Amino acid sequence: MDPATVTLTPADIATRIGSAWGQYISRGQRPGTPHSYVYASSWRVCDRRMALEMTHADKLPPWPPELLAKFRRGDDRERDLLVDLSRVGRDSDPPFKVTGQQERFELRDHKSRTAIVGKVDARLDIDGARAPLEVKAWSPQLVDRIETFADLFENPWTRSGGYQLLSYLYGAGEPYGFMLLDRSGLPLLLPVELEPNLDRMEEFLVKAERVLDHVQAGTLPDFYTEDSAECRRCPWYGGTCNPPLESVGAQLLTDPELEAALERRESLAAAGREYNELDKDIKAKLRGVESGIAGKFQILGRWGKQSRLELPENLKKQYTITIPKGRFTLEITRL
Amino acid sequence: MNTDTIDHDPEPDILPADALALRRPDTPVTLSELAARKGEAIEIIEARVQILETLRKAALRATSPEDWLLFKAPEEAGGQIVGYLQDSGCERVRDLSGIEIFNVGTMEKVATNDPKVFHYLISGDGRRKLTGQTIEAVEGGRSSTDDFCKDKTGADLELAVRKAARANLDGRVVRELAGLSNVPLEEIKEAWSGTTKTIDRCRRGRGFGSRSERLGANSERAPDVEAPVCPHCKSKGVYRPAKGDRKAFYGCANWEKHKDKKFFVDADEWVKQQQLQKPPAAAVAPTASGGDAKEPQQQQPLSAGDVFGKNREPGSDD
Repeated sequence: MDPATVTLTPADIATRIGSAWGQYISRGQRPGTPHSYVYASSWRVCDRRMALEMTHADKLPPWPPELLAKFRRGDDRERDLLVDLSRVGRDSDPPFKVTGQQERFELRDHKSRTAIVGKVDARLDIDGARAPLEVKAWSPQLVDRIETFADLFENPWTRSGGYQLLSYLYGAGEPYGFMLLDRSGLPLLLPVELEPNLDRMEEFLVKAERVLDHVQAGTLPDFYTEDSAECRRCPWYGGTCNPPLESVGAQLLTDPELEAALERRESLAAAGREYNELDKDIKAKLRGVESGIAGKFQILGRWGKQSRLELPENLKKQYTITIPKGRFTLEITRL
Repeated sequence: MNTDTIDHDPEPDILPADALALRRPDTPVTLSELAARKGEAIEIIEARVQILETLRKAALRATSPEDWLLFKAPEEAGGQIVGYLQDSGCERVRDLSGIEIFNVGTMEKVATNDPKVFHYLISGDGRRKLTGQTIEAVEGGRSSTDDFCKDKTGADLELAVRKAARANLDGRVVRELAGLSNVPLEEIKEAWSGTTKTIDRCRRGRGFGSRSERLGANSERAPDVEAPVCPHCKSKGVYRPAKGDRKAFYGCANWEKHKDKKFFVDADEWVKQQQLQKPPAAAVAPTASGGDAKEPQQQQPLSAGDVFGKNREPGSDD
């Protein structure tokens, strides 16, 4: 470009810098390479996807700069969190140290093959133990829904992180470890015990072994057809893997009584809303009126005892259980 | 007198289980079986139709404006606008509609003399559980010259075309089985009523002028004024550009229906006249055969201008 002949507007300059930034970020990208083991962070519900990630890692297109920039931000946050954690350790009671950053570990399967490989972010030397620590800077929308380690397994985007830490605990023979989650406020440190999660870890190991068998035999595991949403999330779908797509479809409810009840409900909806609002307003206005007359209405009220259990937050949390399918929300729309 | 009476069972309140099952469109039934049920058959058929209609509305409601590409028929043919559900939208509809794709074949590459130009094809079968309808050997395909490949090269391009070909197969199966290839605009609008989805956010395709016009520019040919209305059939006049020695004019799209009553309006004159009148309003134009210019206007069918406005930018909201 000849500066004498081209006059750039501020918008042109901004566009050119943005473009150069994208190129700069993209330069740091390393292409995937085929490998003979499963990465600890690569637990997938679909065996076929795990096999493809091992054998065809170099076939995926490069990540777009926008996504690479997000990865980079995540890496930066994880590094910052570890630095902060090291400082926190000096004043903590008991004090702890952050050691063994990026230690590699291998997990062998029943056939003595290297099955799962990973790098532990760090270890917490605390109270005579060396607890593995995994740091995650996921999207705030994901992290806001996580309160316990079990919550990680409820979301397809965080599930692999749970298996990753379990494999570190299993590989290191440590009974517990921690998952450090970045949040908009204080980070969340989740304690993770191996023993209650041994089934999950066994399942991961068996899965990895199954995938390794296929890779060594030069075959691919069967298509995963139980949930086509998995295929929509999979980078191999369409390009390398073309499974059949199954579908349950909407449930057909043909009971005329149900239809009549829905019609009646719909016809009462407006009146119901109005009643509820009025009822709430009137009861608020009349609170404390034990005997009264208003127009054609007699009002009778009486006080009664009210018991309430007030527990400290920590105790409440201790006795709170979460049932994965306990709440059911219905949305009924007339079309 | 015999006083014995026979107690008839009152009409059962609840339909027997098999009648309930027959109300489902996925329960196979023959005409003879329905005929044997006499009056109940009508109720069964109506229930089946109702389910299909509701499901179709629910499917349309599940789509986003960005999933649709609108096409407009020429004014002469009525100017109807229909929506074509793109592959991205078919994904949203597939699960709800219970559509399966199976017997998916292997991806086939069709090369050309130019290594940069190639196509991928893939075929498969589709089935809609709800109706039992099956389609076979549906073919999906995309080309390396398609718009989405613009910035891609090498393996990245190969992969993008393959993925798009599969998405096209899935989309074609869904469109065919769910009947979403040509959906009248009014039906889409009705399904979106009560939501924030609006048709002005849909992409516009064939029938909406040149590419630049679809992107919001004024027509390269038709003047930017309201067209005159034919006094004989009340349809909106069609602009005919100048050709050879003939000057540009407005004519009637339905002129064949009233060949004895001509309708020609000089375009230059009309534009001048309209520009003097602010705000411009559609009026019934005087005719070559002296028709009544003051006849009240009748409501015109929905036009592209009515739908999108003149100065809409792609992706903009009202």
